[in-house]
Amino acid sequence: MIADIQTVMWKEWRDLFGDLQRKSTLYKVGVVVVALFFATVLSLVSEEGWTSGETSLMFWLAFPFVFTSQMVADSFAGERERHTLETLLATRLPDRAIYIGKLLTPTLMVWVGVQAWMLYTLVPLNIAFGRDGLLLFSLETLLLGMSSSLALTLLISAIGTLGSLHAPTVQSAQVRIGIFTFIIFFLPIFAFALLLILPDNVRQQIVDFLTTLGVNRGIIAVTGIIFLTDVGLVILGMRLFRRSRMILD
Amino acid sequence: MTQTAIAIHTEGLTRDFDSVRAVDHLSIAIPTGTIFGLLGENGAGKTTTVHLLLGLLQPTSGRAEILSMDTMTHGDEIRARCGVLLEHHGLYERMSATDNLAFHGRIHHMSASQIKTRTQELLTHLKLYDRRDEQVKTWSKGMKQKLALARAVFHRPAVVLLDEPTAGLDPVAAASLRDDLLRLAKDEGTTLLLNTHNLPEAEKVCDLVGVLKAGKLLATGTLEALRAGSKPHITITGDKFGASLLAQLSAHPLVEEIKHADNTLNIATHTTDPTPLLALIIEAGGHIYSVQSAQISLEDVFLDLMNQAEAVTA
Repeated sequence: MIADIQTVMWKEWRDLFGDLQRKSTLYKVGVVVVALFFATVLSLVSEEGWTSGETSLMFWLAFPFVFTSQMVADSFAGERERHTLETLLATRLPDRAIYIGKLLTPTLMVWVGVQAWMLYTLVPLNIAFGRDGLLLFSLETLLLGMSSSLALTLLISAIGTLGSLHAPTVQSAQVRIGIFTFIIFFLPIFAFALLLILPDNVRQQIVDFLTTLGVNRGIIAVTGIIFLTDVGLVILGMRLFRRSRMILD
Repeated sequence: MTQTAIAIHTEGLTRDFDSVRAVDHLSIAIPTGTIFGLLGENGAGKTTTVHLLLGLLQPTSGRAEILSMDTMTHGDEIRARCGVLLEHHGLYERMSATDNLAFHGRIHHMSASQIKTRTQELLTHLKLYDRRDEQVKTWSKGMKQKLALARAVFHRPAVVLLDEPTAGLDPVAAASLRDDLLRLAKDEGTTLLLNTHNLPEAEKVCDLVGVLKAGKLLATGTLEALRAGSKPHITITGDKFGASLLAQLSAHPLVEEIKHADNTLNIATHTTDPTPLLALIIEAGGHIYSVQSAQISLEDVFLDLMNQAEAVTA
């Protein structure tokens, strides 16, 4: 099973990067320069606070939203659109290997990319402000950033895979995924709006509770909830993925 | 490898899509090592049959077995021992030919060296080796079909299912692919199920054929057996084919049916030897310029069967 999942992931990787490998060097260098420039400016603006502040956590969480949903829409809908899905389903690969392989590829690619990008931000930060010793993320920030970004990337992947599972085209998959990610993205705003319409005493109790909890413990709690949701969505996806249903689309 | 006398067997195989019956009580038995052509018009149920055999669709009723394994309960094992080239070639066009084949090899747990050797062997055989590292999207349709064929036989499957493999190819590419198909089938000793509506192609390639219409199997057997069910035709051009001559011909015991148009007689007979009929025409004063004893093609057989089926329906 593990070998089959790796095979699917290998294919996804080669397929996704087949075009990129053949892009001009100028294009590839350009993408890297833009990414590094953005990281450099961001860390320099935030100064030493970057290693322990909420700003870095925010970026740890923002990237999965931006990149994962773009990649995951292609997982099944792209294969269906390019007429490769039928042949893939006609192989000996087990249902679960196909599903998990397609789920894990964008998850790991985006997550590893985000960690590498965050690691890079420390380079200009140390060059500019590291006179008194090496500036690193606090352990708390590092663990929170890594775990919460993993939970969120997996969440977007799981939603995206579900959205792509029976979508006839990548575009329709993107619309489905967009609706769900929109809801997730605006969930904190909805929660805040809800807080405003609650009676004063209830609102005060909630505010007191959140103040006691603190930002980091709050993120831990939310990350835990997201991980549980991830597990639920992955189980749901595995149940919904059936060869005999896929071919009818 | 276990040798099975019958490689593909279906019994009353039926599949409905809502109110439409795509496959209707299909019963076939394909012996190991043969090339079986499933012939039919578009929408006859050929592709659905392949999907049912691969376990990609569940039958509404009936059953199918490949290599003595039930498609409902042993789908994974069947897919492991089958190679396929479906309606669309299914190649990953952003990947190279080498990567496409490597993916297939990895699916079948082949080692890196096995994959390399087999890739070289097949791509050289199909004259694609020099372009192995190019993205498949830059290739012609014929080259893609050849690569898809290589993928279908890459893991040396016991059974290969091909759905219209030469559709959309120019005659030269189609002939080349057909030759490759025959060579590969011969070299690998595989059982082939070939879905096609290209009758000359089926005639050149298939040992056995089955004719499908609206999901129903109209006839099955060797080409000779199917031809035996149709009447030979003799086409005679000449003149002075008067009413008396035509009456004498119609009454002849070897003559089944006569069609007369301009200076041509088209005679359906019970024999492929035209001599007795020619003698009768000359004796009756007719002039003969040319005689053509047409061999019954698979197309004639196919059209006969279609006409009969339509007559029954009507």
